[in-house]
Amino acid sequence: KARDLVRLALFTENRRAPLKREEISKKVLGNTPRAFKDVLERAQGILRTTFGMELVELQSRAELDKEDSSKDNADGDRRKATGVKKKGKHDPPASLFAASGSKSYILRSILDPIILDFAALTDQEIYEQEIEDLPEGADDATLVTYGSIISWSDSDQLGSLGILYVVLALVLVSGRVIADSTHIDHELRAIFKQLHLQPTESVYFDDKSTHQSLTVNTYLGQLARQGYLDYSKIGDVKSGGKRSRIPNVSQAGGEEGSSGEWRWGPRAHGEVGEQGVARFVAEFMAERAAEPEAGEETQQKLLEAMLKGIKGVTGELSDVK
Amino acid sequence: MASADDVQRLFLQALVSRRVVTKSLARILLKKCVEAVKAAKEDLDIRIPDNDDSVNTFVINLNASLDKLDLEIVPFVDGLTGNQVYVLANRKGDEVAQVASDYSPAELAYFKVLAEMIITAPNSSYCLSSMAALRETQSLKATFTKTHGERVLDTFVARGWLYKSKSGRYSLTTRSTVELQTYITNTFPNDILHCTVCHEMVFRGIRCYTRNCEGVLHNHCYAAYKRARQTCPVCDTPWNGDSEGKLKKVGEGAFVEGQDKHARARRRVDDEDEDEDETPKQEEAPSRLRHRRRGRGKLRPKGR
Repeated sequence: KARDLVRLALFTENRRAPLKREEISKKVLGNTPRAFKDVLERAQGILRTTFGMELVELQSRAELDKEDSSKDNADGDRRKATGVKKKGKHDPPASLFAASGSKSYILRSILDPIILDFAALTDQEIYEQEIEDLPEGADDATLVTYGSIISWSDSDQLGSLGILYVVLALVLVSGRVIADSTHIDHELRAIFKQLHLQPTESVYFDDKSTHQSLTVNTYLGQLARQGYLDYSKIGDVKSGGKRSRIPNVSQAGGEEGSSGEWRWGPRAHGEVGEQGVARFVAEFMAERAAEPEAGEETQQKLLEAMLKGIKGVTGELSDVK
Repeated sequence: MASADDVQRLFLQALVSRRVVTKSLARILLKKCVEAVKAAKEDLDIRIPDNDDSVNTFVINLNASLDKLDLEIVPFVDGLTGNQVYVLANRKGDEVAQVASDYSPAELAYFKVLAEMIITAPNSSYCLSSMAALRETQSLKATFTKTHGERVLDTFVARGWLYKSKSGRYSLTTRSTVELQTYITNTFPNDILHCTVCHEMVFRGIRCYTRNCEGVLHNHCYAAYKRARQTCPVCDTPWNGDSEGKLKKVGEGAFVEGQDKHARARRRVDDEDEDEDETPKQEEAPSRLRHRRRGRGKLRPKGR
């Protein structure tokens, strides 16, 4: 049974969908529903030992909201109890079954961050071999490869993922919430306009995807459904995340529609976490701000200054949840 | 926080992200994985020499753990290139595996149809022209347009399920062949050929020109074979010199222009229960093979 769960976890992750508890109950447990805890623990063991991954429960919106308010109280009391979402945390089993959990899981790598960094680097040798291995007659455009240990380009849609991360970064540095409006400077749609990401612009996917492109609005909607982002109309923040439709912000800037706000969704907390995104922002901002000849020490100082700047807006940054 | 075992884990993750790797690439990846883990913990004593044997051993060890999960890293020879590859394959087509695909039921049905047409293609050509492939979209439900079919075909190629040759003909890739091995063997026993040398299924190769002779070899098996013998392994007719030109081809070389002009997938009316054993064991490609089709009737997709 545990092995079935491992397979289910791997295959579900393949489609980038979270694994719901009901699916587990239906497909794996069948007639022994009470064995959940046991089966899960054993599956985790296999996942960790063989693959260096583990299943982590995504936090429900209710928990995220609670956290937000406790943070505002300058409490800094991080509720890890409900299960960390990102790649790799060994929480004691009890934490995975907190009643307020969202009962959906994602698979996450628990390898040391240094190893993962290494795995993302492009390597000349790997790249050359990959090029050599490309099938004859392969269209250069379809099979882009980067020569990293883990082939990210094979598994993810990098272009659209880039947009997601930009949004996550914008939301974070705007104080964890950003309005969905073109009117005010610095709000999401206004920035998007500058990036040529108006609602009807297209987000392109490579040949592995069955859609060639989606409009920006549709894509944002998809991200919200997948749990990466959370869209709520102003005033509805408490009700566990009302997922209203994302309005089509008209180019002319009509006032109907843009009364919503964007926040991070549970899946973003699970996959990357605030610290991760903050570091990402700080790193490239620092890189841009530094003089070309700047030494490592100066770069490091800039990095820290950037991080401080971010924290000035957000307060303490949480780790992967 | 790193340990020597992380080399295996990272390697496995690298493999999962690619699904098929050549042996050469596997060797380089292994080397880099060791470097990566050492970067995290310098004092680790990891001794994995950089040679083909150690990659083999490494894979065998990994398979020991994977076997219990009905997954396997299958060493194989790519029919197209003759390269040695490893394919990370799913070995059990159960309900759990059916979850894996992010293709819609209609798209999976389309793949199934294409696979069938490729395997049953006349002249042992094992390939399908683009025109015929697109034409088949008509037998699926009405909402599956030709345009969508074109797009889906591109994804099948991009994700490694089908190969599109320079002449625009589709054939099965190593990945499909390995993942769907059992399904193909069970469903199309009379349409597949086995190599006289290595006994694996042949989709690209040569066959003896003597009538009724069953001598068939992969291109790569033949390349090695002819160094030792120049006659048919089954009926002993000469295969050398001028006779070599008489050898019949298996695969695209055997494709006769216009052979699939009127080709249509056989109408299969598969009962739900019958399908249990025959569902292909693969991860992404058709796993939802239960569908009812009667002529051009409506396809009723089951929700994912």
